[in-house]
Amino acid sequence: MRHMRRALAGALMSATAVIVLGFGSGPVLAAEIGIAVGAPESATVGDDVEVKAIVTSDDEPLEGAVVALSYSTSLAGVAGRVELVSAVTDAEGIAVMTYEQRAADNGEMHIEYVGPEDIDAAPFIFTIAVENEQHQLYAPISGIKIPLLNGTLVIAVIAGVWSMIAFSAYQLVRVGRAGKGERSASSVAVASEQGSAWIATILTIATLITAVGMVIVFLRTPLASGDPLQPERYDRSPIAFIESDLPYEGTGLAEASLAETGDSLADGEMLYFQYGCASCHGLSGIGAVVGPGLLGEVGSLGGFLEDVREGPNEMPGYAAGVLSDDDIELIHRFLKEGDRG
Amino acid sequence: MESVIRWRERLIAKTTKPTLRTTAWYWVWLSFLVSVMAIGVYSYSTQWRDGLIVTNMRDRISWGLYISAFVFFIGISHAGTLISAILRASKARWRAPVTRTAEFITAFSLLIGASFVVIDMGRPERIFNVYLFGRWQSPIMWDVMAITTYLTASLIYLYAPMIPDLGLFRDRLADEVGPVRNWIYRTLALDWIGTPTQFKYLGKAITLMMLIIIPIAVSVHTVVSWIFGMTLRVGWNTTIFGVLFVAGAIFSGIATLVIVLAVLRRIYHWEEYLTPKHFIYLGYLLAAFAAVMIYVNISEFVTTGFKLEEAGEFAFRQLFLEDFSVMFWFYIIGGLITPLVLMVVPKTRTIAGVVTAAVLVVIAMFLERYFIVVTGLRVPLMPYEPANYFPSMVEWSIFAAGLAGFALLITIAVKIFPMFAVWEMVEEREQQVALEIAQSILVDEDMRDDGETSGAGALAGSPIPEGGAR
Amino acid sequence: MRETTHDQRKQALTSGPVLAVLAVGAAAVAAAPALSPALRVVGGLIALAIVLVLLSARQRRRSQIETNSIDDTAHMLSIDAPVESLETPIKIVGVERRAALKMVGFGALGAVPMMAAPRLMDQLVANVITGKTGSATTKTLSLHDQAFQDPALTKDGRIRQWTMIIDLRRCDGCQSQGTAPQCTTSCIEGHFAPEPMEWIEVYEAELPGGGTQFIPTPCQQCEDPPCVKVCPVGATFSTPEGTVLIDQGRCIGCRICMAACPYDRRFFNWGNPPIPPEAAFADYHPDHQTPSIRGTVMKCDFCPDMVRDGTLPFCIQACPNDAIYYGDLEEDIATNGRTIVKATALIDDNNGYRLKEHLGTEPRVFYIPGHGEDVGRDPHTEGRVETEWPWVERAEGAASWSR
Repeated sequence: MRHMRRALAGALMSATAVIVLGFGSGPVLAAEIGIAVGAPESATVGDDVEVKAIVTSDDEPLEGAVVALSYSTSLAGVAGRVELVSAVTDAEGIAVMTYEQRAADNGEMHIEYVGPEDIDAAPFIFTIAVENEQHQLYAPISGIKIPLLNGTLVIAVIAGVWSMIAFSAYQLVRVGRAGKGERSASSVAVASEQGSAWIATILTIATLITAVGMVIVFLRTPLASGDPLQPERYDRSPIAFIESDLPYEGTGLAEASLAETGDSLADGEMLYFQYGCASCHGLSGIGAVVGPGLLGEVGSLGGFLEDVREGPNEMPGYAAGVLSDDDIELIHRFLKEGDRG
Repeated sequence: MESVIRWRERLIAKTTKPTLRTTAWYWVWLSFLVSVMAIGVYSYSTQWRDGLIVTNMRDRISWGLYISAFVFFIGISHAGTLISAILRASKARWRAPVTRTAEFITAFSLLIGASFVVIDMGRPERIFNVYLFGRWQSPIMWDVMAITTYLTASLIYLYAPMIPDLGLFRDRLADEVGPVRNWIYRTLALDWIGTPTQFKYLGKAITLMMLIIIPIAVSVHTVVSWIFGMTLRVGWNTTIFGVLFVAGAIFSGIATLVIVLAVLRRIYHWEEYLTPKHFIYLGYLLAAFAAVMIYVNISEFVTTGFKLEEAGEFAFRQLFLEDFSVMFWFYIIGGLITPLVLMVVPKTRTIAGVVTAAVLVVIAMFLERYFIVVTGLRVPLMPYEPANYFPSMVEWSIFAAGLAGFALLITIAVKIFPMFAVWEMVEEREQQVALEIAQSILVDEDMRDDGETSGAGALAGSPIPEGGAR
Repeated sequence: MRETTHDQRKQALTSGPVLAVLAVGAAAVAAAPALSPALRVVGGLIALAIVLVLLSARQRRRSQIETNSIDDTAHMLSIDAPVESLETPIKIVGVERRAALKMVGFGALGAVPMMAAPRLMDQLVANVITGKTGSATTKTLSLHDQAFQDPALTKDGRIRQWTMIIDLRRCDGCQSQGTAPQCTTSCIEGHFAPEPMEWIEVYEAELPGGGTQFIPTPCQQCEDPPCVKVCPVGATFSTPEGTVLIDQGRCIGCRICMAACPYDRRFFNWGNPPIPPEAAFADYHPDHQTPSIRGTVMKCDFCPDMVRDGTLPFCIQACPNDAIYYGDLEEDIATNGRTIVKATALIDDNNGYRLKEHLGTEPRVFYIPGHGEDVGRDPHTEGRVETEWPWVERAEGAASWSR
C-alpha cells in the first residue's frame, strides 16, 4: 500500500491546519461503517495536503481498514474520479493520507472504504477549495550550463576566422593597386594595359558579406523548444496560418449550434456527425470499422443515454459537459426514426 | 650548367603547352565527360519530378550513396590543404610543382561535394531555409558554415599564388589565345608586374591563408564526421570519428592528387618537373596516413568489440562476416595494408607502385565512406528485420556525374590556368643553382662529382634545410 | 434580402460541389502520367480556372455573409475584430472545406463514401445562409482563443504536459480481434498516413524467457529530443506541452532527424504520398500533418488538436483493450477513454519504464511491462495481422513504397 503512514495521536492534535468538518454525516450504510474526515478547507496548487479519515465500525474505531481518497476531474471528454491516495487505519481507526494538490479544481472529494472486507459503504463526500498559483509544477530537466561556453564563443571564432580570410582577400586588392601605381609611375611596358583590381574587390566584398551573413544566421537561430515556463515563446499562429487565413479546427467535435434547423431528425443527424459518432459508427449510423451499426437498432432513450455517458465496450464515455442530454435525445431520435430510405 | 633563364623559358613553354595546343583526344574526352554529366542531369530531373522515390533509400536506410559521395568528395578536397599549406608551412622544397594541382582538386571537389548535399535533399527548392531559419545547434549547420568557410578560403588560397602566373600568361599569351582567355588573364592577373610591393602584399595573403586554412580544413572534416557522430547510433556515436574522418580525408586527398598528377604528367610530358621523387614523397605521405588509419581503426574496433553490446555485435557481424565483409576487407587489406607494403618494399617504390597504391586507396576510401553510412543506419533500433540497400541506377548515374563533373572541371582548368606555380619553381631553381655554385666554390672537386648533378631529379629531391620564403 | 440569400443558397447547392468535383477531375488529368503532355496541360489549366472561380465565389459569399450578419443580427456587432484579422479569426462555418470534412467524421473517412459529402456540404451552406452565422461566430471566437493561440491549459492556466502510458499487459497486438492492430489502423485512417507509415507501430519483441510481447510504439515525444537538436532549420520543435511536432512547410528533407531518432519513429515521404483525394481538402497544420507533403518527414504528433477539442487520439479511441492511456503530467491524470487515473501512480504501481532510458532522451511515453496476459494472450502465440492502407487504390498519381 503506497503512501501508507501510521498516524500518531499527537499528530492529529498538532495539525493546526486541519479543520475537522464533522463526524459521520453520511451513514447511509447498513454495514455500520462510519467515516469521518479531517481536511483543510482550502489548498494551494503544489502543496502537500494532509487528509485524515477516522473509520468506525458500529462507532468503534476500525483498525486495518483501507480507505481511498479521490477527486473528480475530466480530460479529453472523459470525466471520472481519480484515486489520489489510499491508506490503512491504525488502532484508533485513523488513516492519514497525503497528496500533492495538482488539480486546479477538486470537485467533489470522496473518501471511500475499499477493504479489506467487501462492504458496500457509501463514501464520505466533502470539498477542498483550490487556490491557484499558476506556476508550472511539472518541469522538464535542464542540461548543464558552463559559463562562457556558448554561442557567443562560436560567433567569436567565426568572426575571427572570417576577418582573417577577408584580410587576405584585401591584400589582393592592394596587390592590384600597387601594380597600377607602379605602372603609371614607371613607364614599364606591359603587354596588356587593361588590367585592374576589381575582381579582387568583389572577392573581398563577397567574403565580408558571407561573413556577416553567417553571424546573422547565428543570431537569428530560431528556438526549437517551447519553455513551459515561458509559453509566449511558442506561438502556433505563424505555422497555423500558412496558406490559410483561417485556423484548423481539429478533427473532433464540431459546431453543435449548426443543428438548429427545427427539423428534429435533421438536427439529430447533424449532431451525430458533429460529435464524431460517424467516426466509428459510420455515415448514417450503418456501422463501420470500429463501431456497430446503430441506425434503427437503438433501444430506449434511457439505455442509450447511459451507454453514451459510460461508453460500452471500447467506446469512450461522453460527459455531460461535452454532450448534453438534449443533444443525446436528438441523436437518439435520429437513430431510432431516421431510417428514411 | 643550364642557365636559370633558359630553364625558366623551357618551363614556361611546358606550362603553356596545354593552353596552346588542344588535340582531338581532348575533345573526345571532354564530350565523354559531358555526356556522363548529361545522363546525371537527366537522372536528377527524374528525381526532381518524382521525389527521392527514384532512389533506393527508404525510411530505415535513409542515407546512401549521395551522402557517401558527399563525404568522399569533401575528403579528397583535403589534398590541397595538406600538400599546399602544410608543406608550404614546413618549407618542404619539393612541393612547388604539385601545389597548384592540389589546390584545384580542393576547390573542385568541394564544389562537387557540397552539391551532393543538395541532391540528397527531399525539398531542394527550400535550400534557402537554411539561411532563413538556420539553427546553429545543428550539425548540418556546422557543415554549411565550415564548408562555406573552407570553400571561400581555398578559392582565395588557390587564387593568390596563381596571380604571378596569371600575369605571366597575360603577358606571354596575349597574341596566342582568344579574347575570352585574354580577358580572363587580364582580369585575374590584377595588374601583376612583380614589384616588391606586390610581392609583399601577396606574401601576406598567402602566409595568412596558409596558416588559417589548416585548422579550417581539419574542422571541416571533423564536422562532417559529426553529422554521424552526434546521432545516437551504434557505430557512429564514437569520439574517434573526427580523427578517423580527417585522417581518411587527407589519405584519400593525397591519393587523388597522385592520380591526377600521374595523368597530367603522362599527357603533357611533364616528366622533367614531376619526377619519381615527387611521387615517392607523396607515396611516403600515403604510407604514413595508411598507418594512422590502421591505428585509428584498431583503436575503434577494439574498444567497441571488447564491450560488444547487442547492437555492436550486429554491426560487427555485418561488417566482418556478412553483408559488407567484402567491402570491409578490401578496405583494410587493399586500401590500408597494401599501400603501406608497396611503399615499404623498395622494389615497388616507383611511380607505378605509388599510382597503384593511390588507385587502391581512392577505391577503398570510397567504400569506407559507403559502408560507414549504410552500416550505421542498418543496425536495427527496434525489434525489426534489418533493411537492405543498394543504390538505384539514378543514384549511380548521379554519382558518376559527380565524378565526371570533377574530372570535367580539372580538364577545363588545364586549358585555362597555369597548372604549375612557375614563379615558385623558378625561385626554387634559383636557390638550387645558387647553392650549387656555393658548393662548387666551397667543396672539394671530387666531392662535387659524387654529389648531385644538375637536372630535375636533383632539384626535386635535394633536401635543402633552409631556403627562405622568397 | 431573403430572396437574395435563397438564390445564393440555390447557387451554392448546385454549383459548388459540382465544380469542386470537376476541379478534382481536371487536376487528376493533369497529374496522370499516362496521358499526353498537351492533355495534361489543358487539364491543369481547367483545374486552375475552376479553383479560381470557386475562390472568387467563396470571397463573394463571405462578403455577403458579413453584410447579412450586420444587417440581421445585432449581437454580431459585439465582435470588434475584422474578419481577416489573424489575432481573432472569425470562423464562418460552412463555407470552409475543413468543416465539410469534419462533418463526415474525419476519423473514419476510409469507410465513408464520398458521394455523401455534397449533401452534407449543402446542409452546411444552407445553415450559413439562413442566418446561423451569428451565433456560430460568437462561439467559435472563444473556442479558437482557447484552443489554438495557446497551448492546452488546466483550469488555472498551467500548461498541460501530455504523456502516454501504454499497458503492455493489455496489448495482444489485436490477435484476439483477428485484425491488424487497431491503434495503427485508426491512426492511419485518421491522419491519412501514407503507406507504409505506421506512426504508432506495434513491434513484436522477444521476451527473455521465450515467447514474444507486443510493443505499440508511437513517437516517444522526448523531452530532450535528439531529432530536434539536429534539425538545421528548426522544422521540428518541442512545444510547451512537451510534444515534438514537425512543420512540413519548413522541412528541407535532409533526413538527419531520421538518422538521429533512436526509436526509428520518423518517416519520409519518398515520393508523392499515397493519400486519398479528400485528404487534400484539409488545411495543413503540424498538429495533424494532413495532407502529407512529398520530400518531408512525418511522425506521430500526439494529436494535441484532438485533445484540445475534447476527444482522445485515434489510437486510444480504437484500442479494443483500453491498453493506451493519454494523460497530463501537470495535473497528474491519465485516461484510456473509460477510466481516469492518477498518471504517476499508474506508472509507479505497475513498474512502468521507458524505452532506451539510458540514452537520456527523457521520453514522454511510458510502458507497463507485460505481454497481453490481462487479455488472455499466451506469449507463445506469435505474429500479428499486417497493417493495410484502405485508400491506396484511390490515391491518384501517387507512389507507394516499402520501409
